[in-house]
Amino acid sequence: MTNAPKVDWAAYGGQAGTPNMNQRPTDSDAALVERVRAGQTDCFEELVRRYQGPLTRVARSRLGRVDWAEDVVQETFMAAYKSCGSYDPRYNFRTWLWTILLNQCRGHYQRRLRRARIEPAPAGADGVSLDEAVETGDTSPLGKLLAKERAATLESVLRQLSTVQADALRLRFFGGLKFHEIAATMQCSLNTAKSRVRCGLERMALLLEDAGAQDQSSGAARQEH
Amino acid sequence: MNCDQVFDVLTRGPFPTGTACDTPVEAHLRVCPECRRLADALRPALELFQEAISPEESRDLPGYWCSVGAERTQPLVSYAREMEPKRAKLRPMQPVGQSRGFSALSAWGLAAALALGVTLGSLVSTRWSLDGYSTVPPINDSHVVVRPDDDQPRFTPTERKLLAGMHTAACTRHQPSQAPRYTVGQQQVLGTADLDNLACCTECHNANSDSVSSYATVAVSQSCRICHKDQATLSFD
Repeated sequence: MTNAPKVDWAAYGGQAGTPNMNQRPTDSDAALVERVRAGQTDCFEELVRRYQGPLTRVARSRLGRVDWAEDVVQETFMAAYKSCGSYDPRYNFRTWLWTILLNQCRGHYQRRLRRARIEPAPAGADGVSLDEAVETGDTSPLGKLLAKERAATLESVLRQLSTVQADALRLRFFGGLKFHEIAATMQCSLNTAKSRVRCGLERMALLLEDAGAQDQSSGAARQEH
Repeated sequence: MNCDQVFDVLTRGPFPTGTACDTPVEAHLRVCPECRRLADALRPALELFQEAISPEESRDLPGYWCSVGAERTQPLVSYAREMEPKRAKLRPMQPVGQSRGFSALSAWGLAAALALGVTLGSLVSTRWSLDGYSTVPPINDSHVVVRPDDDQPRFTPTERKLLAGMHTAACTRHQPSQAPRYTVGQQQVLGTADLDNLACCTECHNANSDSVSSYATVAVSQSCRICHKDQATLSFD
């Protein structure tokens, strides 16, 4: 299922679950990175804690598989950790991390494509699909079913958008990025970032409307039968 | 709060939040039909995103807590206008009556403006109407000139210049001083050559006709006055 080993961040100097007493939770990303560069490697744990959730959500939506998303997020943190020495503190750490994630997602997708051409996936190697991994506050079977359906609809609609529009939407809604951060991450202008979000949402609205109309017509056809 | 900030709020998290923070956004949506239309159109997509995120996950996501980001450097409306044709395809999800209300209002406004223009035109033309002549007012004496014995108001050279200056670009190609002076009789039929010399109105209207009656010329001139209504409302007392 997953090829990349799970990273134990305690091995980098931090102790999982026990916050470093020298590190205040309100420390900025830049301050934490500066400490990591100065040798306080346990500070990186706090950065992982801050960004793991949003990064995983975006990667999960981008790749369509939870296990792949976890791999990519780990690779992203590894790459960020290794590159901490070369990180220029004048730039925003947040957008730097998101740029790494998008690059990792692209690389992962291309690697998967190449691998799929060479060796077909073995039986039962489907991994955890996105639908199965839907987390919802509603624990009732109906609630879970509805959440699963909504997640499937969202992923289906996002796949019909252009890659840049879908990525901009994922960064905005799953990553919680501001428009200027989306622009920096996607290396485009602020106006382009806003336009991608807006046009993506408009296209989604049209696709959802079409899907709703199709559902209604198929429902009517079933009633006639 | 401006359109840019409202778009930021709408795409930042669930809205309305049910707090007092919603008031400025809602106030803007009430007065800005463009943002209201956009908010209604985007609502299904936004809801789908918000429903796809579990409450646990949404904790580490930003929301709208009365603070609007200071990230705007370019107004959203600048590219919103570029997107107008695309947005026109979207079916607005606001109540139908409201949408129709706006278009009906616009139509009524247009009709009222037209009616006002025609009324003012007819008032001025009535004031200047002559026996045996059309109701064409001597707005520009290069077109139609009245008989010298009529008690038609005479324009001074300054007034003529003023009138010429107020013409549209198409009309100012022929300067009043250079244009021939015509007297149009009631039943007179103008030939093509004469029409060619009629500087303004008939150059565009009935340009391909061999001959146009004075009535037609009058009608054309009157229709031109609807566009040139600023002139019609002028008074030279």
